[in-house]
Amino acid sequence: MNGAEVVLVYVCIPGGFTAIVASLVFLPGLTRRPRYKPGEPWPHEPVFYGPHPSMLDEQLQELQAGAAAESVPAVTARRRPVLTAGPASAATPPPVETPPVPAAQARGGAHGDW
Amino acid sequence: MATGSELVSFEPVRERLPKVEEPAPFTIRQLARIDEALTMASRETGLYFTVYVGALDVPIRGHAERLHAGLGPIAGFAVLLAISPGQRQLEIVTGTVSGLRLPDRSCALAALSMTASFGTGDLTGGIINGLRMLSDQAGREG
Repeated sequence: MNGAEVVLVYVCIPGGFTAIVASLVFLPGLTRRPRYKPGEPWPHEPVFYGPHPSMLDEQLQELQAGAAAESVPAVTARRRPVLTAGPASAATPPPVETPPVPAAQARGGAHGDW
Repeated sequence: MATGSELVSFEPVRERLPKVEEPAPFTIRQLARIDEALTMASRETGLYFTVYVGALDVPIRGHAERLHAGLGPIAGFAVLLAISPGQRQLEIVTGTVSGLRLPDRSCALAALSMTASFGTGDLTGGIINGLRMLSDQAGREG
């Protein structure tokens, strides 16, 4: 066996085999999204998920439709000008419209930390 | 069997497809699992399950209750799982109706299971386990 064959058998073949195994081990980790680790800061924007409306029962669908309908006049009321011209309104201060505060409907629940 | 011409025409079709950007912080696959769990829990129980993942203002409970109240008329039937991974805090809020079917003890059990998963870094698994436990506890509507 000459020098080239020695290098091929004892260096290239083990080196190639090691490279293949290493790529199989480490490549999936490099392409994967970083996993959440407790204690690290959370850089993402807040997200709010709910069930798809078509999957809800009729009562919940009606309530959700009612919530959507209620929100329309509430938004337009805030955009409506509160100050009107005229002698009567000039003496009295214009009514201040405050954004609607949702009624608290929380009953209970639980708290946890990790 | 696919012919050579079909294989050739496959590449341009793939290129025309819109690139779907995976919304952070979950992958599409994780979102699909959460969506399925949310839908199944809501459909089985008749309650409105929602999940919030993000920072919570202090006091945590107050912020979670504001989020819950922001759901509007449906809030009474709603169950909110508010998770703040950065602060390592979890808050479960039940409504006036959903609270009747989900006592605080059941919520605490679900919270314990969820925080165990969150502690190992498995956010998706914790959310899904929590939703399943809560829907099992609430039972079927009626």
